[in-house]
Amino acid sequence: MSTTEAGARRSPRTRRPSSFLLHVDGELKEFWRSPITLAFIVAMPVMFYVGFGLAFRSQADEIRLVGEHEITQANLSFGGILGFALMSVAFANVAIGLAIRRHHGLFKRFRTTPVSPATVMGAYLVNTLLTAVIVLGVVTAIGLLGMGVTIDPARIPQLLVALMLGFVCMAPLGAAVSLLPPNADAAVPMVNGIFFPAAFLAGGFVILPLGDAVSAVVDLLPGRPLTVLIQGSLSEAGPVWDWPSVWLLSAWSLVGTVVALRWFRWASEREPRGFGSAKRRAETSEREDEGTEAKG
Amino acid sequence: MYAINATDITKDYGKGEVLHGISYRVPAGRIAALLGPNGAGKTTLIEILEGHRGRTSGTVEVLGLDPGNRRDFAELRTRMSVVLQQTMLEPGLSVRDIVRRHASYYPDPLDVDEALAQVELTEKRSALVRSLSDGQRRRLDLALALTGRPELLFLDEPTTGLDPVSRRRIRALVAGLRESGTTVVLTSHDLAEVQELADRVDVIRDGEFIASGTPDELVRDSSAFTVVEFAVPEGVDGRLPEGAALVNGRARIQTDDQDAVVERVQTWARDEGTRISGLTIVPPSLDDAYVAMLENRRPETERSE
Repeated sequence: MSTTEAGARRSPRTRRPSSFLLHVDGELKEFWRSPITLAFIVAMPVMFYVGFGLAFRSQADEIRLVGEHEITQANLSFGGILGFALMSVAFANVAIGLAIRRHHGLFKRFRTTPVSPATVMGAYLVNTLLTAVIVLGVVTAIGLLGMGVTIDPARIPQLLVALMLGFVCMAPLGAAVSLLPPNADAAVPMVNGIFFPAAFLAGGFVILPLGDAVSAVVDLLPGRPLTVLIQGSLSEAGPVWDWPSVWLLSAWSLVGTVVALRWFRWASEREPRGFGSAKRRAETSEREDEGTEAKG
Repeated sequence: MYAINATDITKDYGKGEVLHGISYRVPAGRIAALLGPNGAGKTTLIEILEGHRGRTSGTVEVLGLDPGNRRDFAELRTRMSVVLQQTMLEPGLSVRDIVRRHASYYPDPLDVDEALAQVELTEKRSALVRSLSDGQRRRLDLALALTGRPELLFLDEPTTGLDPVSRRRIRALVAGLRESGTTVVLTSHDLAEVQELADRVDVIRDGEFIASGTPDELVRDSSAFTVVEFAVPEGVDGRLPEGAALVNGRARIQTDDQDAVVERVQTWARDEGTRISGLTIVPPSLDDAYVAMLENRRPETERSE
């Protein structure tokens, strides 16, 4: 085959946008055209912040103590809202979105086509990341312009890393929790039943008077270390990193990833499974191939 | 040549077998219907053929490939399509967006406009999915299935819940697929649809095939009756031909030998000195044959050729 022929055959394919880009485009349009998602995922953290920030506006410059670090009330609320918004977008949104897609058969439909799971899930995560960036950006703009938030430029990389770590932890946990709802109708109440208590127990807004035993448990959940890392990067002084929180978030990220991949399902029913069964399917077919060859 | 050639398939979910060593063949380019009551094993068989469910034993070849083998399954998905009964289409996307994205999965897809023209949705190309009627969504489902130019198409209840006009459109589309050489495996509870479309029908019950053949063969071989009816003439004073029942002022006779019954009715009329009017002869439909099959289990007949 000549080069020209090969090029001529390839050209129609190269002109077409890739499946991944079209999936990202689809996810973006689906998300931003849905009034319900916009209200709950984008507007809710912003409205929370506006309400909460205005309530504490007169105390914006007062110094609070979080752990051993001093932080202004404005930055304390801001850090809490950043954690809340991140959990809303990366955890609740992912968990609800994946559960609904699974139970309404969207994944099953993709499963019948040649599109790869990596394309479908990758595009979903890219959309979630872009949404998180937008929501956090809006919250930050409100904080800087109207709530008296001050960010030390030297601490910005630390804040960004904390947020990224939070995303890497919350998104897999959301994917794992998406396996719990037995049907699409149960997705919103079940996920929010986990999300709201977890978000408030994280201590971003108020430090609840919990007993020692409850506090010890709450400290191990992912919301608290996320809040500690974000507020730590907004405090007046203090250590750059709270390493126990970093390890804890990393551990939760690992747990979420393992659970989400191991028990991933394309459809409501137990069969067929996706990522978790791919290896077993390959092993089975390889064994069958080997058996055939051995017989041959 | 068979598009589907499955032999001795069993499936056991751990609570006993759902499929009991059944064999199923569909010649290429035909429309084959798979019928059976809920829980008969129909969906399990279809999902095994589609590669979405493993089999316990048996051999399966779909377009010459084993859907249970990972590599074969990957190739199979580029050559076949599945229209599921109820699945979500993202409501915030336009018809064009969805078809274009779907087309990107295949090496040589139909052009978006070509796919939409096939299902008469061209004028809706910019409409959001949420604005489509049920019938239009179902046609969009079909457009997606056809986008990859499939050699084999699985259609699950393609017209359930649709209005008569939409049903007719979709049936015409499916019938047109036969002309293009596409093999279609159809599952439906609408037996009029099956009778109209299918070249072959296989009926499954309790994990075994209980009948197979063309729709006409199944009707002919079933124990369903032809119904002969006529208006009861005045003056017969309740006397009716042998075997007749009075239903809404008409005499009705169920028979598997309509010629004999018509002759009997004519003889009766002559003897009564009256004339027969409004005579109707309604042969059994596939629906009647199917019900008769399920009510009186018959010996297994020859399966798909």
